[in-house]
Amino acid sequence: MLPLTPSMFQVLIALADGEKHGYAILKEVARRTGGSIALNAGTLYGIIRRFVHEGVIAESATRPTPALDDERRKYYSLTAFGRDVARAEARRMETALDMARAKALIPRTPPA
Amino acid sequence: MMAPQWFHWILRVLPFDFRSDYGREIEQVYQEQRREAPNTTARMRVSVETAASILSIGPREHLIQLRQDIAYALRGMRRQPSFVAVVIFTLALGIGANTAIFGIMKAVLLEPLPYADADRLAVVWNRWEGRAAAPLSDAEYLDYSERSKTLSIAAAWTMAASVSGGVGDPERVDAVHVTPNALGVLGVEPVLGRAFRAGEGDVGQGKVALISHDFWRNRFESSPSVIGKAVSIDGLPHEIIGVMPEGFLWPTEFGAASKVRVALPLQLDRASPRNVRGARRLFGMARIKPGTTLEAAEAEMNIVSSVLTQEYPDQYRLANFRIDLQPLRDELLGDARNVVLFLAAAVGLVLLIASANVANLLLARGEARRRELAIRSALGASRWRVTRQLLTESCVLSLAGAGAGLVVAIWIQRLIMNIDPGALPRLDQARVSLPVIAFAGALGCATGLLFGVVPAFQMSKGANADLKSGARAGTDKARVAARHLLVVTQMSIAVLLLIAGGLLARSFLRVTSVPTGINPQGVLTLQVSLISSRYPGAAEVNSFFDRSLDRVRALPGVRAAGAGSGLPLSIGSGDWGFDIEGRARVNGRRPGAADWFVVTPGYLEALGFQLVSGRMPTVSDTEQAAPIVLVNEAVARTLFKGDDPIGRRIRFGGATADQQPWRTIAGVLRDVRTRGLDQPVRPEVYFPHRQFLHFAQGVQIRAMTFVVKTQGEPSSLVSPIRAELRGLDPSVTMADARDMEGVVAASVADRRLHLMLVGAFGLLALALATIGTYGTMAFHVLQRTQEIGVRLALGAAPRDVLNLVIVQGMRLVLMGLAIGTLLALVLTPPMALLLFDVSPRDIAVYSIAPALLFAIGLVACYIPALRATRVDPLTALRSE
Repeated sequence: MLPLTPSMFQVLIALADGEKHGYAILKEVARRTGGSIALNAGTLYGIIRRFVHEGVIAESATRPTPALDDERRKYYSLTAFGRDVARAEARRMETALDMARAKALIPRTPPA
Repeated sequence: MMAPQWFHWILRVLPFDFRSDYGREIEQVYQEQRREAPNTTARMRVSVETAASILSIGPREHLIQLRQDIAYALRGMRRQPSFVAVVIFTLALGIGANTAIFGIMKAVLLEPLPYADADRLAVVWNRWEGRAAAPLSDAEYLDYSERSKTLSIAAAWTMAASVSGGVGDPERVDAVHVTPNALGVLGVEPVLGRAFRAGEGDVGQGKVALISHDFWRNRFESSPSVIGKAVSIDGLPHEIIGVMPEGFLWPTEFGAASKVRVALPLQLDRASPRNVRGARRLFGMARIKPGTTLEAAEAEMNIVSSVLTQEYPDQYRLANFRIDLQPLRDELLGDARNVVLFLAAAVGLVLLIASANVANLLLARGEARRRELAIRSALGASRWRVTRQLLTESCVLSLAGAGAGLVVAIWIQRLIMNIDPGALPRLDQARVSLPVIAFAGALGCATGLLFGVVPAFQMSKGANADLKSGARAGTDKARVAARHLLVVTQMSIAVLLLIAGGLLARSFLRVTSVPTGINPQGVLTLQVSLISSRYPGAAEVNSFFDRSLDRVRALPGVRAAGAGSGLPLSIGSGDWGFDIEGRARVNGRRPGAADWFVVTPGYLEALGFQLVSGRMPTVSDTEQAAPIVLVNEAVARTLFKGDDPIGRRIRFGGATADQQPWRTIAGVLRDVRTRGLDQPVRPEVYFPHRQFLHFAQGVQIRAMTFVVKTQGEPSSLVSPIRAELRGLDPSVTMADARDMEGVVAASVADRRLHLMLVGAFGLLALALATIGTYGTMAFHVLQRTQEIGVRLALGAAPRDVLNLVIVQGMRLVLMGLAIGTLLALVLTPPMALLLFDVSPRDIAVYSIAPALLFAIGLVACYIPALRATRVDPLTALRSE
């Protein structure tokens, strides 16, 4: 399954802190990446369908309070498996970064 | 706010399930994104990008789904290997037969002719009204080509020759003699070297030859330096000037059993007198010149023929002479088209039966799968999704069938070529090539949809309801009706094919049971021809044949030997008018006419001609003896109306009429089917060779067929006879050594091929229909086990149950038979082209074929019915 495409990874990141509906995912990704990853309805649901099919995310059974709810909207959340996938991808990238730092391709981050 | 209409259209590229799951959300996200876009440009961008991404995701998603369906189908197939094997086997037969015939159709009909701009080529024939087309004489060819402004005409004449050169032993091949312009007319260039030059055909020029691509490859190992080398043809060295392209065929080669290996310039003497026009041997081929049409050329040739009729009135005595132009393609492939299209129709029907069979199997299996499908649909699979899954399964099955069908196709093509490679022109070029494989694949997909669609819709329809109702299978009326429809279809197609096969079989039996009139057993035939420069006159010619036959007769194992200008079922002749002593001409026309043959003593005996009365020609029928002639029964019957013709005298006409003597009819021969077993017998006369005088001045018969009756195997005498003749004169050309039984068989080879193929396909159809009917009835009984059990438990007699099941099954069988027989009545009349002495509505065939299928249908119903009566009522009821 790994590596994920940047768009896929961003969808997982967007869902990491809680369930969201499609448009919210799209907006969060745009905001977080400063527009460098611009999803649209087509690409987003291509990813969502695949993630649902593979069990990475699931349609949320709970819905927000009726006042905030739009019945057309479905909410998605990470599954436990999805969380593992997101972590694994992050680690994969971390390892790659370490290698780049070891070769001084990019500056070492100061220890926290 | 609604999304615009175009957006809905674009959404349609997504698979149905995708759309129904996420369509609304996609639409909503798209609208929100647009709404929040700061300006028109940004809105435009959202629209374009969204549309583009949907368009790119659509096909990918379809593919993913297809992969899933296929994987699912394969899993299912692995669980039922025997079902899968039966289906694939059935389809392989159906698709294989079609693929084989398509491969043949492609090679024979669809491939372009190997000539440039072939639709501007035509064949030039002499034609007299009501008679078969005749080739051209040398003088006619020269006249036609000199006088025509609209045509470039070339001529060809094929003769066997002995060639040696390069690697390998000397071999006997066909050599085509063509006018030097022939390649120009055909629009073909040699791949190596050059074509003939004008003048190379003239007497006294150096000897040059073109060789075929095969010959180049086999004897000269495709060496480019072959040009300029010598090849020996009939003992004379010829310089190789060019190599023909691969796959090139001379027009005279189409449908010929042997292939042309060398081409030589045809020697025509423009200066020789043009009044000898009877020896017609040349195949005329013409290119219509640019700017004119076939019609214009025909009009011009009509004028040429009428002028020639006036210039040479005694050469064109027969009524309505004209020069006939036939489009080359029609001429070369016309007959083959009928045969190939007929076969294509037959195999198409076989595939329909196979499809019906498989559809039936799928329906039956579908009953067993109803719960599985119901569960899938309960888990959220839409009806469309289930249908799609089922169709994918049938396509996977039929593609597997197509794969196996390719093997069957190769096998069928080999079989056909083994029966008779010369039965259809270019048959030997049939291959299972890429387009043929593509055809098999396309046919597989089409077949998969054809047999899959009914079961798929039937099965998906009830999928939801079945789980709830607990599915008492076999009660759904539509499903039962679908299965019944398939049985009826199969039966009707099977009877149609069986009738077609039966008609061909009856026709073949009729043809082969026609008495030939001769005894072909143990007879060797061999074409022998002499060179005119060495044998200028009758004396030299006759003496050669007498001496050579004496030598042949002296060989051990020879019982009789002779030579004749013709050969029954192979070499015919034109007719020649004669006067009958004591009978007046009518309107200046001679009262008699007959096909004529020149024979040496021993010829008629060797072939087993039977004498009705009188005597055979003997060695004493010499130039000095009183001239005699033998006639066949057809002469006696038509010209002497039952009077004994023995002792009557006749005298022939032609340019030599004043030198022709009165000849006494010395013998009457039993009729022989000279022109073919399926052709009517025509009046025939036989001249003793020493007393023969050709109707054209100075013409000799230098090509004769030796017939040798042997004690043992005829072929064992080929070499000794050749050696004897070569010993007499090495320049003698010998060719086409065949045994007479082979000649007889070859004369009906095309009919045998039609019969074997259609017969085989008919039997295949019969077998498939039997299996299909049996399967359906067996399944039907199985589905009704409970019902039958109840009936039996309630006291029904087993006999009643038996009757019930049989009657129900036979109703379908009879309906199919009726429909198929009616279809046959409508569809078979065009078959008359392929039939001999059998009406396309032959009553025997129309009774036997349905009767046979009725009997088979009865058995197919009886066995399951019998099993039904053995149902144990308790078991049946318990299973409810």
